[in-house]
Amino acid sequence: MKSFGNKNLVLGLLLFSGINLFICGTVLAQNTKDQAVSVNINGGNLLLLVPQSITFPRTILEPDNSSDTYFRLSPYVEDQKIRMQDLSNGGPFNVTVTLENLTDHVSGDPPFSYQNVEICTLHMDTINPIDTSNLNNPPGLNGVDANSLINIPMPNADTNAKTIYKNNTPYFQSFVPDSGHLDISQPILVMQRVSGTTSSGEYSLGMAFHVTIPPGTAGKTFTGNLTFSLL
Amino acid sequence: MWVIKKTFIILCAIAFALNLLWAGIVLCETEESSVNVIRLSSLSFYAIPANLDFGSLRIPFQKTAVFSDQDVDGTQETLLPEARRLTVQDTRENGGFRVTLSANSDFTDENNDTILLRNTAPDDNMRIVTSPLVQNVTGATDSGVIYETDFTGEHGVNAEINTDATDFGSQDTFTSVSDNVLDASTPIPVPVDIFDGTLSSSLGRSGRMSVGVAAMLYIPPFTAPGVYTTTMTWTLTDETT
Repeated sequence: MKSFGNKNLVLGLLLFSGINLFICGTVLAQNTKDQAVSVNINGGNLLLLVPQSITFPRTILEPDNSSDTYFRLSPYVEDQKIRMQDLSNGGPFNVTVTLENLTDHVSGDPPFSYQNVEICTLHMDTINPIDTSNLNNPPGLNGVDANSLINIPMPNADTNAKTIYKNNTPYFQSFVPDSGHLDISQPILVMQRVSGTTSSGEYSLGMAFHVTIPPGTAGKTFTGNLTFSLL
Repeated sequence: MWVIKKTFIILCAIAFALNLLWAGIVLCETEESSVNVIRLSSLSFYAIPANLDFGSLRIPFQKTAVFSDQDVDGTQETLLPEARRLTVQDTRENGGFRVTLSANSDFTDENNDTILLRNTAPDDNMRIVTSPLVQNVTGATDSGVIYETDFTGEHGVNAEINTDATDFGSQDTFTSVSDNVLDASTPIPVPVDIFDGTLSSSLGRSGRMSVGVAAMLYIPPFTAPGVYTTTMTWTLTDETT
């Protein structure tokens, strides 16, 4: 009986009441929403760009003796530089250069020993001027990333980078042959990175040659294959 | 005596219950119960642009632009997709509002490499524009803003970084607009103004106001590989004078 009375009381109250449902809108002082944004950047490869040919259009007089005669051969023009496009994000690599089949193109005979042909590296880039204030930039290399950790193991003529350029044109005046220059008849490591960095970049390298000319070479024209390898 | 009292109480209870029941029956016969829904006016985002993915690219040798809506099939796109829609709904009919956009941080990848977001060179890497050229959004366009169908009240919303250009894959579209560079400087990022819809309390709007939003991101040369992410925050505030 008690239960019956309570039910009717509740029912009665409901019946007497209307139902008011308030749906309240929001008038916020500040309302924020977030939007995610992303981009995916993929690593790439190493690409070595070398000139199709390097010419030394130079004629010299036959020397009287071979004891200390030499001349300089340098591909001064911009399109004869070696370029390295590195998208490896710090991947290791070796770049070597070898001179092969050096002969007199008329007789076919090697005119002189490969020991007489030597090579060195130097800055040779007018695209990205050398930042001489950054000591991390390895000598002989002009790269956009100062922390690329690239070794240039060859003897380097770039002892004073500022003197190599005149009016933004490569001007090589400090090349002096010395005992550090290498025999190019065997592969020579010119540029190398082992590991230890995560950078990418574009690097360029100039090369200069000098040849010791022995007597008896008058009238000869020397040709050879200069091979660059990226490993 | 106790029995009389008990009987009296029971009879009273029965009488009371019958009274309530009778009143309920009468009410049911004479008056239907009602549900009154009262909706207050509001100011809110109706839609913000969908999450944005600039896609994939190789490490660039030069500063390279990527776009939220680049024409990839050779056909000039003349409308931004509906996913780029930004819509504010204001039914208050009283006062104005403002919308800003800010980047919460620089783009960062899993190795903590970054693409900086600053509003000064050389790190002015991300730019935003708005346009009334949006798919499936209809209404009257006024000064770069779409006042959608059934909108009533004051126009006068300034689309602060509106562009009249139609090529959303062109750097010129983004660089020709002022004050549209995102800046995630710490501790407080610098917001970009999107809508200035300030009104006095004597004026107001009722309806939806929309634009499409497009973005351009510069990838610096030799950026390390990775998936770079950030979060942008859209902020809507009351701006009633």
